[in-house]
Parts: sequence; C-alpha cells; structure tokens
Amino acid sequence: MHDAREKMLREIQALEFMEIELNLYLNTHPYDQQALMIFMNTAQQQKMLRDNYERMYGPLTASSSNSFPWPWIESPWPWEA
Amino acid sequence: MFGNNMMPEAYANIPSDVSAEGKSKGKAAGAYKISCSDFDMCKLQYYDPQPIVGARLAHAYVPFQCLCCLYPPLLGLKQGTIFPELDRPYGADPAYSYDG
Amino acid sequence: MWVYEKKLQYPVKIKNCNPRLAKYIITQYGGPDGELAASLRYLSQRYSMPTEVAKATLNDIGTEELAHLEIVGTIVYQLTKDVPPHILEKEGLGGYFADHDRGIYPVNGDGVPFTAAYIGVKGDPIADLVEDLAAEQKARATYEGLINMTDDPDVIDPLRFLREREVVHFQRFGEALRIVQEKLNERPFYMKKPDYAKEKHMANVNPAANISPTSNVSPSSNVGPAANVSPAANISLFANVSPAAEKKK
Repeated sequence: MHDAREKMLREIQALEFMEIELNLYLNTHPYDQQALMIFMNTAQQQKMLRDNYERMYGPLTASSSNSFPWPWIESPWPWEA
Repeated sequence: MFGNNMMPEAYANIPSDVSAEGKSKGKAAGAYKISCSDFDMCKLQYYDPQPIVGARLAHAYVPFQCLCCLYPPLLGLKQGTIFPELDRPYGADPAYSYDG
Repeated sequence: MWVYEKKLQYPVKIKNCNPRLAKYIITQYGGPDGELAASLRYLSQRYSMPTEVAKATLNDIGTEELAHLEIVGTIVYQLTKDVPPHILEKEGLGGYFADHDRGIYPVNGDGVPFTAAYIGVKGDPIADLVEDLAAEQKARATYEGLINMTDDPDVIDPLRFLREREVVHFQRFGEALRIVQEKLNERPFYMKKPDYAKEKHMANVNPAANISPTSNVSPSSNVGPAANVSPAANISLFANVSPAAEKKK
C-alpha cells in the first residue's frame, strides 16, 4: 500500500521533472515547436496521473483540497520519510 | 539566433517506464515524447555543439543546445536531466570535476 | 507568486543518521553557494533584466532552487532525526543544537549564519548573468565535495541529482546570456541623443559622411544579429569631427 503510493508519486515526480526541464529549455528556445508539443503532452499526462493520485491519497496542492475534515494538513509532509 | 529548430530525423517512440495506465493514457493523448534506442548519438552533441558565429572579444559564450532525443521520464529523473547531451555524471569529465 | 506542491522534486529517503555529515551538508542550505543564496539571487536579479528570455529563465530557475532548498533541508533533517543530544554534541553539532535544537537554520558548514552579502545583484544584465554562471559552478563544485565526503548511497543519490541540475542550469544561463548579449549588441555604437543641427553641419563639411543616427536604432527588433550597425560608418563619423567642432556643441 505504502509502496503503491510511492510508486505513483514517483511517476508524477518524473513527469513533472520532465515538464520543468522542457520549461527551462523552451525559455531559451521559444520557437522550438517539437519541444512545445512534447511539453503539452507531458502536462496533459501529468494532470491525469495527478488527479488519480489526489483522489486516492490526498491533495498535492492546497487548492485541490476538497474533503472534510481539511485534508491539506495531513501527513506525510515531503520531508518525512 | 535562438538555436536551431531542425529536428534530427532518426527518432522513434519507445514505451515509457510509467505505469500501464499512464502508458494507455499517453497513447490516447498521442505521442508525447521522442526517444532513441541508443543515446550515444545525442551525447556526442556535448563534444560538438552548434558552432558560435559572430563572437566578440571580452564576451563569454556558451553554445546553444539543440534538441535531440529525450530520456524516458523515470530515467530522466534519476539522472537529473532529460537531455542525454547534458547528462554529465560526476567523474565523467576528469577535467571538469576537479578533485584535489 | 508561488504555489506549493506537497512533494519533493526528488525523493529523499535516508535510513542511517549521520550528524557529522549533516553539519557539512547544511552549507548547501544557508551557505554562500547554497540553494537559498541561489534562489534569492536569481529571484532578485530578474526585475532588472532587459529581455523576456532572461526574465523567464531567472524566474523559473529561481523557483526551482527553492525546491532544491527543500531537498537539502530534508536531507539535513533526516540525517539528524532522533539522534540523542550527546551524540550530536560529540559529532560537532553541539553549538547548533544549543541554539536551534532539531530545527533547520540557514548556516554554512561552520555555523556562520546566512547573509545577503553572499549574493550580488548588480542591475547590469551581463554582470548578473555571468555571476549566475559562476554561482552554478560553485554549487556544482560544493556538491562534488559533499559527494566525496560520504559513502551512503541514500545521501549520494539526491546530492548527485542536485549536482546535475547545476550543470543544466549553467547551460540555461549561458543561453540566456547569449540572447541578452545579442540584444544589447544591436544598439548603435554611440548612445548620444542625435543632434540634427550638428548632423546638417557635418553633412556640409563632408557630404559623403551623411549618416542618420536614427537608422541604426532598432529597439523593437530582437531577431537577427547586429546587422544594422556598420562599424565603418561610425569610425568615419568620429574621424570627421574636429575637436573644436565637438566642443562647440
């Protein structure tokens, strides 16, 4: 159970990392259409995985908290192993 | 001026490392990344980047990076970059990583 | 503004405590080449940058350095978690523990607190970007030193990731510097306001040198090299000006 959560989180981390890298690349190569398409696809895929994770394990951003009691405060926080 | 937009023609979509659900979603959303079966061709760009034209004295220049292939997302996260040409682990460059 | 996501950029799971190592790794939290200095530097420099590319690059890399700050803080926290005070004191963290207990306080490896003197914001785009290049190299070198100091693979893994990020940031700042340099080199050689009366006088003195200053100024076009400025034309302008005529203005 713990491992499934970590596995899912790891995938989201990987896709978000790809998004950040492409973001930085596109900042200095704004006319690179190929990179832009990959960026958009990555963002879309990440959104799906993220919605899945948040439905199962709680919000990843404060603004996506939508249950009672307020779920944002729940552990684990990122610095806790 | 902004680096080139020309894509290398030899690239192929290979399945990624993400979960089965992600894979199916990725296919539904269309091809979302380019990747090679062998990244050595991309890594050569590190040694032979786009030449610097119009350099002046008293200026510093870093060559522009051209997009080649991308690592799959999980490999990219592990290595610290999704670009094979910028993947320089500690110890790869004896001159770059000076260890007194 | 910033949105926080409840996850690290790179996972950190350290199983073995090591307070002595934590004492050194904290230099990348609050030290001169650490992530706090980096993020503060980049986020402060972005206001006075001339090109959109530079603003975006500084903004996004500054934001990513905040995420790295969190990773380093997590490493230090996990290395000292649940270590009894007498062992902390034995390993050299006695002074730190007396002031901060288990808290994470921005200091360098010797306990010197963070200061803004570590960063430079010159307001000059080339000076700022070249400083950022140097900062990335300093951070990379520090991470390599820290990797050399330990054998624990759980600690080496995030340090290795952070080191590679510095290499990539160096490349990005280098590209931003290229773009800023090309934009700044587009300007004409001289920066004086054009003096049309003098220009008319110069045209009478030497009809061949009829350079209209405004034709060289193209602030709106930031594509293409500095093709509008022909160095020969500028040299002939100065060559025709006699010192007396110059002072008469």
